[in-house]
Amino acid sequence: MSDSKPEEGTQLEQGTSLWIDALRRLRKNYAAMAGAAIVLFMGFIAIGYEVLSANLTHFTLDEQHPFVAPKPPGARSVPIVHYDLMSTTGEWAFEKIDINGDGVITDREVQQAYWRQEFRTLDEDSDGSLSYGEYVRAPLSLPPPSEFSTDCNKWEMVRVSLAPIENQDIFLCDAGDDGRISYEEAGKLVEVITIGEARSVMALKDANEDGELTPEEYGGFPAPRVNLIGTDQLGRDLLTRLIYGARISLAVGLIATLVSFLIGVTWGATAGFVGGKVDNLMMRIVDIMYGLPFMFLVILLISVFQTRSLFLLFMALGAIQWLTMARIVRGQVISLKKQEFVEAARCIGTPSAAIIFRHLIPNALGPIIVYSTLTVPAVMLEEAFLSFLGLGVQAPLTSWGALASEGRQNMEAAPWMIIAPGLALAVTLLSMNFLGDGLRDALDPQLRKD
Amino acid sequence: MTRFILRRLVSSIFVILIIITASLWITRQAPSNPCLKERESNTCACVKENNLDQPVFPIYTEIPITPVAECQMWQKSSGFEVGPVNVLGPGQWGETQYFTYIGTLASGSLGQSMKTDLSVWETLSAGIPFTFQLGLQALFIALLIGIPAGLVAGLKQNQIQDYSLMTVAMLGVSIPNFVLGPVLIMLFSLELGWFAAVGWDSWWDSVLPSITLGLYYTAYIARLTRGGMLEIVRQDFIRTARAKGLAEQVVVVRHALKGALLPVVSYMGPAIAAMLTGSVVVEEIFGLPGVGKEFVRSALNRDYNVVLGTVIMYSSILVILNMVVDVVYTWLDPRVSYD
Repeated sequence: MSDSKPEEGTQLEQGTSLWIDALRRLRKNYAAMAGAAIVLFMGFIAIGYEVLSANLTHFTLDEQHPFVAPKPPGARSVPIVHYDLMSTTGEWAFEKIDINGDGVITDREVQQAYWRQEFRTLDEDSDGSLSYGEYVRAPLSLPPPSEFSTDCNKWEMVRVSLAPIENQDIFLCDAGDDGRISYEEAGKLVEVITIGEARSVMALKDANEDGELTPEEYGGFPAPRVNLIGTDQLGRDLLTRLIYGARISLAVGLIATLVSFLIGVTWGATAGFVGGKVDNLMMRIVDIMYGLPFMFLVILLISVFQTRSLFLLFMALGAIQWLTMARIVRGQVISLKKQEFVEAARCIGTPSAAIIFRHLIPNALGPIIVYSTLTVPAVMLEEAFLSFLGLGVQAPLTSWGALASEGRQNMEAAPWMIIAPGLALAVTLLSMNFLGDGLRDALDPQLRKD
Repeated sequence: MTRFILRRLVSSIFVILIIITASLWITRQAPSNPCLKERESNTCACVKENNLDQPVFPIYTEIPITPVAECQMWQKSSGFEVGPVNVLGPGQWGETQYFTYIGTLASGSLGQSMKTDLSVWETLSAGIPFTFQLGLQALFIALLIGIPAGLVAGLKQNQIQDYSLMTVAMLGVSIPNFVLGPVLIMLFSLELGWFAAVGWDSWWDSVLPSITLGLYYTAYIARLTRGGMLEIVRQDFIRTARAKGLAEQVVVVRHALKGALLPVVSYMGPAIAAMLTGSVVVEEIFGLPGVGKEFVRSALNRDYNVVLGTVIMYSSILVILNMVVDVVYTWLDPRVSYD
């Protein structure tokens, strides 16, 4: 629009372009700036999944740690792939793990070694036994007793209800009835890692696959890592999945918006530029399509074809979002095409397509950008909606919507599973909406006057 | 006026025809067909019963062709005998799935479910009361709360009421209903025990689903009303009304409100379309036996007649509602003419 407004003020005054002006206005809008910061942050997280999963969460997207229930935030699991080798001295020395001294390490001994490590962390006063208070902090002590009591039966009931039938005998607690849990007693109560996890940790080292480790095979074990916001029902680290979900959700948002941008801008610009009957027809089509239940056609398309390709998802979501964009661009083009610079372009023989794409669209960019910013959250919401119905991205990929869907199925046992992706979605959508609103206020030519 | 409605009616029928054609095309393009999961001996009966052995759209042909229908492909792979397949003679219009289906619709029926003995209407009609009550209540909530909230925010622009209401509205448009629903269930059903977590036994149980469905639209309508209000109160006729000493209430209710509601009215069409879609998820979350749940189940189950029936029913409702919206719009805004 700067072309259309020739400088006519006092001769030496520095003119401000629309964009610098808008940027200054945007900077004053704290909500929009905070939104932009959060959106950028989410973008970096989505890009940095590989780095973050290797260095922050230490788990991968699909790494399963089966247990009887989803682990709550703060629980620990042993990463299978990303493991740092512990030193071969001290707690993790071969002879310390090999309790019975037969020269090989078995899966039971691996499980025990992890538990010893855990016990020392829990035993804050280092007296060799756990008070109930200390015990409650054990990674799998879920749910925590409402008050610290010496009545063990309450815990037993909780634990028994969570345990498979054949493991009920490990839930005997405080056999000595002295109000404290000794190392042996606690070992029966808490599994830091399951026997299955112990085997998968061992399998990394077990060259000859005999289920036992010799001193030559053994080179240290991975340390348990905290599941910062818990795990899902398959023991997969939720934070890792959330980070990966950010990648898919944001990618769908951006690419589908790009698709809608391309269709909408071309459609709207053509209708506005050509005008007359063509314009009438094209806009009538848009009007008609406006009120149609497009999501139903998308659901139909995806469910009958049974292909859950991301490409189809991008296209389908983009193809139903371009209507408003077409209307906006048409309005802009109609008001711009009568102006002198377009006439000048036409005089020197510029072809229509070049006038549209080189002159008209760049000048209508303000509203286009604003609307695109607001389309991204709308598309993300739709993707999440489809994934929630099980029609969006499929395993092993995941998105925030798919995570929320899994979370809803485990809502009662593991509320963190729905709260985490729900919060991530809500915060991101909120930020994008604030940013889009801020951009609109900053670029709105009506507001520019006062 | 009558001409306007008539013209809209004609174009509406045209639109519904396009929808029918598109959905029929999508379902028939699918790599699998609803009869494949039948017991083997029934497959060809199923194929013939549902006219799947005919071409989808009319083909005019000079050479005799045997339509390669699903039944024949199936026959090849299974070795089952099929009766004579519809063969087009030279230069003939063949019988087609398309015309058979349109014919069924024209006779006032939505056809037969491909998976059960029920008709499509019988399958859907059980869910209709749920879905419509849910949608109407959500719409009611949206209008009853959204419009006053937007009015207050617009009249008190850049004051504390405006900021607080618009922040809440922004939250409302940012929380997906499939997150809101489970959170509401956890809070009010599981923790406090005020509502049933699943199902719908009395009116009281419909409160949570309606709020879940309606919150987004409440927030959006509040934002639209505020925007419309801001634009209207700067207009000359409002200044005139104030200048001649009308009470503020009269200015707002008699003069400003009508214009401020224009964006809301034109949003009604898309809003209702989105609400019907949204109710699919809400029905899923709250375990309600509505039309949306039936739609997703049938789509996954390849019960195409039920799917087509749902799409046609919803499209017709929307097209008619859009027409009503247009009429209301022209009534509200004297600048818009009927042609």
